[in-house]
Amino acid sequence: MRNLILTTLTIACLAAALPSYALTASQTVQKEVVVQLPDGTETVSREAADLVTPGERVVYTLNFTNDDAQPATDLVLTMPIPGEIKFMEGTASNNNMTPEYSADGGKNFSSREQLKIRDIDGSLITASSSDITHIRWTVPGPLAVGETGNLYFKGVLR
Amino acid sequence: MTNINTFLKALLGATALTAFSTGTAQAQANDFTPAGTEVSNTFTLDYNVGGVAQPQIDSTATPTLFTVDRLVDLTVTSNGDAIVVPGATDEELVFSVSNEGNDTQAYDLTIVEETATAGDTIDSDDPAGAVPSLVYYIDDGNGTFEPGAADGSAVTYDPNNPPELGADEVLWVVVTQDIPISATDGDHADLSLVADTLEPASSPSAGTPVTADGDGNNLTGAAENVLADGFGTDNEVANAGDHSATGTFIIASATIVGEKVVSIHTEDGTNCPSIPGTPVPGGYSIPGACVEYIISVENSGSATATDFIVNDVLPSELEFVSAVFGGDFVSGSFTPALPAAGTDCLSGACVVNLTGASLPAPVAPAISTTGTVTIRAFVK
Repeated sequence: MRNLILTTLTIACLAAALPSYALTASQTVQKEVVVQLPDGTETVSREAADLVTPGERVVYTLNFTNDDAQPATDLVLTMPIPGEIKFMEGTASNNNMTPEYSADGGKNFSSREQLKIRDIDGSLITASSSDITHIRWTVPGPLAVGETGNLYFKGVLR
Repeated sequence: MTNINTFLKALLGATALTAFSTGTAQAQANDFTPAGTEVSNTFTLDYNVGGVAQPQIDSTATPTLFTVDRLVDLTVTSNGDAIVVPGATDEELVFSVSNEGNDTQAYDLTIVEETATAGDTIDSDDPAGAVPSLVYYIDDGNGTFEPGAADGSAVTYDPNNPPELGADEVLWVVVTQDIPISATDGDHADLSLVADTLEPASSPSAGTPVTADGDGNNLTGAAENVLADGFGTDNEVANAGDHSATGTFIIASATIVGEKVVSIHTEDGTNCPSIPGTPVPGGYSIPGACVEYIISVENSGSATATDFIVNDVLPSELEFVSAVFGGDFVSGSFTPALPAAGTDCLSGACVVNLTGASLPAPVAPAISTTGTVTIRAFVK
């Protein structure tokens, strides 16, 4: 049985009129294993991130649920990319969502093509995978009561 | 036709070539994340309910964690074969051992003398009074074998105190052997170095061979072992924490044959001093005839023969004219100097003595090289 780490959250109350819990969200990390079959096809499976060594692929997933009594809208989910992980291009564009990327620690976000950094000579160049510090997904919603969603990105352990 | 007045002496392959590769052991470091590193990640979630922004959910207090496990991988490579001569002592084979994992490990080193196969025809010998002698150097980081210089001095291998390498570090291992005098040109002696990964001194089970972990779900906590080595020779298998490579002593010796041929260059003695000149065939050995001796030395082996001495004492019935040496001989000189032209060869007065010449090994497609000493004399 897989042992997933679930992050439990305590959401602060705002005012008595608002409910105590609205959205719940949890983040997991798993190892992705690609197996080459004799006929040339590949099977991809996700396992617990046990026995992970440099060069192997990991997947960070965010699962979220609307526990509220009302729909939620304008969800903005942001995940940093840990320094030990090299982002795999294209793996954040899932569930028909277009993510945005930051190369400055999460201050500014843009599309992948428009993400630029300054080269040593001062000129603007397109950021490489290693320059990306954060990924942000915007889910306009509405996320109905009881509805769940998820998104993820993949990377290679350096 | 050979003449007992000529003797031939040479040293075989006095310079033994040691063909070390000039390549580096490792082109670049792997820079893997160290074993035991805890990788941490978090997230934030902003959202609206009823058009009103809600407090941000921030998981910083409870990050998502996993531990980077210990990759055990190594490569043993031969740093080149050694070309040696029969009877040579203290010949060396060099191997490199690279730690291609992400943690410090210790290494057990064993030498295997490969048994005779199609390619391996003889065994080398341990130097007198020693068990197979192994020394090693820790590479200074540039991947080039620099013994006694940048890589420091040799350390004698002690299995009770095995060498340790950090991730991306390289060990140079030198095996010293003697070559049997009975070895012949073209013999091969294969030696393999097997390196087995051991727990380092910092581990509670220091000195024991590493074993693979995988006994349960340990997402975080201490790093676990993953064995990812390939296999190098039949002395070990993949994913077992060990690796090996084979180096070869290649025996090369010179194979020398000498021959002396005598002929009449011109019956009437004309054009005797100029070598080679134009012979007039069919002449008889009569007084005044010009006699020619050609001493040929042939090397059909794989090593240069050096320090040749070709000595010829002309018979008493001749008068010395001239002598030269050439062909494939490299260097050399007539020492002492040749007799003067016209010297009567009575009682061994005419001595032609070539010293210090070398005859290199043939280069394919040639199968031999030939050096010559040509002597002209008059029949008195």
